[in-house]
Amino acid sequence: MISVALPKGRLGEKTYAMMAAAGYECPSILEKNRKLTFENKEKGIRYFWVKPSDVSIYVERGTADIGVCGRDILMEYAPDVYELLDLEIGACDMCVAGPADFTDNGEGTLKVATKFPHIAMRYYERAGRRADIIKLNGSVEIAPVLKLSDVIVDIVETGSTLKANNLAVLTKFAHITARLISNKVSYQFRHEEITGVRDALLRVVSGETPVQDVTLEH
Amino acid sequence: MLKHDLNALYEEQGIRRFRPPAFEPYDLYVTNRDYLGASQLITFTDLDGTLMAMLPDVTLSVLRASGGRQQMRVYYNASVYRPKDGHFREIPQAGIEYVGALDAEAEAEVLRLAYRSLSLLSEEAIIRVSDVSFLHTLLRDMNLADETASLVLKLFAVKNASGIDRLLADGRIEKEKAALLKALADLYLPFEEGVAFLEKQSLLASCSETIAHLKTLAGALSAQDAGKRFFLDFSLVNSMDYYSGVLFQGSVRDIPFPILSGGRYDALASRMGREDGAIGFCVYLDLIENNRREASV
Repeated sequence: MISVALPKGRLGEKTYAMMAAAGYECPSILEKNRKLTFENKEKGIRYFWVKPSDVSIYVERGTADIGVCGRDILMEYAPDVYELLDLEIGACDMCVAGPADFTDNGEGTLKVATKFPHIAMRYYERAGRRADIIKLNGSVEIAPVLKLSDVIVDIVETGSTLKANNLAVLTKFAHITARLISNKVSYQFRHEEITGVRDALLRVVSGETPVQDVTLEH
Repeated sequence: MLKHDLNALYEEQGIRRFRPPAFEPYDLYVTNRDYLGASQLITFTDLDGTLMAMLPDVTLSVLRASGGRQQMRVYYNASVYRPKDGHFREIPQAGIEYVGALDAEAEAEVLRLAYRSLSLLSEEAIIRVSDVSFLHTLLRDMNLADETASLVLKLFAVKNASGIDRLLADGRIEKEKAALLKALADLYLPFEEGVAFLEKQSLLASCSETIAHLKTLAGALSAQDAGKRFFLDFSLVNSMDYYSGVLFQGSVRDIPFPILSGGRYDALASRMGREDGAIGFCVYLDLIENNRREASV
């Protein structure tokens, strides 16, 4: 029985659709109920929903053998897990964004608001730019508008949120997609099962196996 | 209790117990800062003004004590003092160190003891083995740019074989090299099978010496049943800076973190004045205690 931590939300639904196409369906997950875990004994798979930023914690500690989370989480928290596959969903970019007419004159300390302080710190260290990294927990776009910061480091998908706040992407520096991660010890003792899941998912990613969209009843 | 069982296991092999002091001169750790990592130490001033540190590690004390001796085979079961979860803690560790001239048979003996240490805990134990000199030779002979080589090692560490595809797409690696690197990133095979795979790769011709050594090691290990529990796996890239040959980690099924790690650390031994060799491993008793349901360490 492989335990899979799925991120709550649209990414998790897309992931489940891919898992189902790969042969790891678990129909009870689609029903409207208050269950927390869903099992398909025949396929040897168990799913549970967790907050997206917690998936890597469940996997790192072995409570889930595998899970799916965004590369942004992996870059920020560097959990000690294997990264077995790029699922090529949940695509977005890690960017520096700010007022469209913003130019950095390179002097003094740049104020950067972000939900990803480690990513931001490393980016500016590599750029050799002194930066004051301000960690926020959400709605980061409002920071430069209210002049809490000069710019932000955040993930950008369509860019519509930025536009709505009169901000623009200044630099794109990392492409983010969802990754299949695995606990390192589970990988050793369940090598065939876990690589089996990875290989079946790879066939879905490559288009060899078609996917059907699913919507969960909430 | 596991602690006592480990002691008995090592005594049975004729390995004598090394009792490290609770503290050593701080100097010992300053000169080996990169081996210890950025860890902070508990320090105090001795009555004669010497700055001392509570032991963060036993290996350095073993090396310090080995001066003038041709061979030293010891085990320890002691506490070290390191930061953990924001505070200094007393952390129990057990392990063995072999210092002196070491051949494949001696390495196999240490690996076998590592496996036997874990099998005291669980019937389901696995030791993963890698080789630092193999990886260094491989990357050097592939003539990759420094940044690419560093990216390759990062991909190996997380078994991200498809990341190698991206390096190929970016033009950083040639096609045949990428195919081999992908296979090595993904590799997780019983030790003998793994070595057989390496032997068949024409691109690894320059690593033939290291591969031959691994083959001898595999032979020595499979002479006993435990051979089945050793796996070749190149994702062990952390700590590559002071290990210089075979490198290994041990896990048991019901604990989600590796609980044993070791390897050949000739580079560190040479820095402490020993030109022959050193190999050892450490069992993390605290991790075992904190993660087992019926923990009785």
